Amino acid sequence: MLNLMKMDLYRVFHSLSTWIIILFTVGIALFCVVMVQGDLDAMAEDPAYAQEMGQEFADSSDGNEDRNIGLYSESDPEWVEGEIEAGEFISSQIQSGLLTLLVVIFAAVFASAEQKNGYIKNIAGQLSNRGILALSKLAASAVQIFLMFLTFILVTGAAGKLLWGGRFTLGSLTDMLSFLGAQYLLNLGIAALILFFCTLTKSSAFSMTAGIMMVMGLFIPIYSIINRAVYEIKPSWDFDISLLVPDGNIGLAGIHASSEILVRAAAVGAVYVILCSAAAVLIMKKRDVR
Amino acid sequence: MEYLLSTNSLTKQYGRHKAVDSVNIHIRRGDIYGLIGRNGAGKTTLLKMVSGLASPTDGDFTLFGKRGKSAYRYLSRVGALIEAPGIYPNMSAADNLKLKCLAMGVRKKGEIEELLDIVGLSDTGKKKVKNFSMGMKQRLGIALALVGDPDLVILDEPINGLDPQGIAEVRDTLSRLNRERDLTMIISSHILEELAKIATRYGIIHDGILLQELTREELLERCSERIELKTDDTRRACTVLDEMGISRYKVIDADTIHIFERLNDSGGITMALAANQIRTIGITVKNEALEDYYLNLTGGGVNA
Repeated sequence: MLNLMKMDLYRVFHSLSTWIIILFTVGIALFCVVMVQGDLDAMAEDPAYAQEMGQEFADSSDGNEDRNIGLYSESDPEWVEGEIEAGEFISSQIQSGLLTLLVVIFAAVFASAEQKNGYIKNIAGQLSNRGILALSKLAASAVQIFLMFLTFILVTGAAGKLLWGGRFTLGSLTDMLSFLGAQYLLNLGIAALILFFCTLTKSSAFSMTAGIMMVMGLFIPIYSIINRAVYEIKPSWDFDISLLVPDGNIGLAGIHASSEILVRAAAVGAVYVILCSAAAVLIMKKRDVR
Repeated sequence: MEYLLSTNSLTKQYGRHKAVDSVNIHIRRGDIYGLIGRNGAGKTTLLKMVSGLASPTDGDFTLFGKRGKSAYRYLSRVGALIEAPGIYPNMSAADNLKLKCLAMGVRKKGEIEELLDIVGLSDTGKKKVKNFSMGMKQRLGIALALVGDPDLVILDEPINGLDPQGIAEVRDTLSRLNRERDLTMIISSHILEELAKIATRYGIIHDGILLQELTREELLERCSERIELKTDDTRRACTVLDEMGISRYKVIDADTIHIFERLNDSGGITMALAANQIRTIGITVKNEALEDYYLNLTGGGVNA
C-alpha cells in the first residue's frame, strides 16, 4: 500500500495535469478577489443591491441558504468600508463550489489515467490485492486537494492583502480551521465519488460530467423528486436528501455555520470517503483488468 | 517433473462462450514458451489469467510449486506485457520505469538505467514516450515487465506492429535475457515464423483449446524436409519404395506419399516407378513451414 502511495504521489508531482490544476487554482483565487472587488464597488454605488447582498451573505455563511442551480458567491456589504476577514472571504468563495469544480476535474483525470493508458496492466497482476490501487489513488488525491486548498488560501490571502491592505484581517483561526476541515472532507468525499465513478464506468468523461453537474447544482431537481417521494411515503419525516450529499453540504458549511451543520458536513464527507472508496476497492478487486 | 508454471484445466467463460477451455500448459524453468494461435484463439485471455489480471471461471494454475490461491502470492515474481504496452505518454521512459519501481518497492540503485540499457533505450533521456516509435514503446513495455528481476516474463504479442529491424532487435533482446539471466518466458504470437526462431517449447491454441504442446525438436521433426509424391496407385508405389530400401515414408491420402529419406534421389524414384508402370503425377521436395503445420493442425486459414 505504502509503495503504491509513493507511486501515485510521484505521478501527482510529475504529471502536467497536476500543475495545470494548481495554476487554475491560482487563477480562480485571483478571479475571486477581483470579482469581490467588483461587487464591493457595485454595492458602494447601489445601497439597494448592498442590502440584498447582505441578506444573501448572512444566509450563506450561517448555513440557511436555499440552493440554486449554478455557482454563486456572496459578498458582505460591510466589506465595502469595514474589515474583510480572511476566513469569511475564503468561506464565501469555497462555498460557491468553484474550487470543488477543479477537484472534480483533477479526480476524474487522475483516477482514470491508469486504466485509460493501460499502465494498470503493469502492476495489477503483481499485487496480492489489487483493490488497494483505488485506496492509493484516494490518498494521492487527498494530498492534491490539500495542496489546492493551501494554494487557494495563500493566493487569496496574498491578493486580498495587496488589494485591501490593512482592512484584510485574519479573523478567528479556530473558526477558519473548523470550516476548512469540514470543507476538506466534503471535497475529499466528492473526489472519492468521482474515483468510484471512474472505477465503475472506466470513463473520465462520464465521471467528470456527472461531477460537474453535481457541483453546479443540476441534481437539485432529482433531489426534490426524492424529497417529494419520501414525503408522500412518510409526511411526518422532515427528510432532505441534499443534507446527506456532499454537494448540498458544501454550500451550507460556511465559517459562521453552527457546529451542528459543520459536524454533519464533516460526517457526510467522511461517510462518502469510506463508502465510495470501499465500493471502488471491491470493484477493482473483483473485476478483471482489461 | 516440476514445472515453473502449469495450468490445471484453466477455463475462462464469457457468457456462453468459452474463450479458454480447460487448457493445460507446462512451462519449465529456462523455457521460452511460444504460445501460437490466431487472433481470438484465447492467447491473451490465457496469459491474463496466468499473470493475475483476470480470474479463471474454472481451473487454476500451479506457480513455483504452489497451486490455487497460494500461487497468487508468487505473482509478484511474474512480469507481464499484455497486448499494447501500458505507459504514461507524457512521461519519459525512465519516469515510467520509476513508477513501477516505486509500486514494486524496488530500491536497487541503477535499476532503471540497467533496464533502459537492456532494451536499448538508454539514450532517450527526457524524451516523452508519446514521441517514441512503436518499437521503442514495445521495448519500454518489455523493460516494465522486467522491473524487479522477475523469474517469469509473460509477453503477449511483443513484436506486434514492429518493422523487421524492430522484430530482430526484440528477438535478440529476449534471447539474450533468456541466455544471460536464465529468464523463463512465455511469448504469444500469431507470426509463427518469428516465434519459431526463438521459442524452445510450443503450445498451439485454437478456439480456446490447447491442441498440442511440443518441444522445438519435435516441431522441427514434424516440419522436416520430404519428397511429396503424387501417384495414381499408392499401394503399388509403396511396394516399389520398399524394394528400393526406402522405409521412412508415409501415405497421406489416396494419391499422396511423403518420403523422408533420399531427398536428392527423386529422379531415381520416378524411374523406378516408371519401370513398374506406375504413373507419377508429381514429385517435389517440400519443407513444411510452421505455418502450414499450424494450418493443418487447426484445419483453417491463419489470421495473421
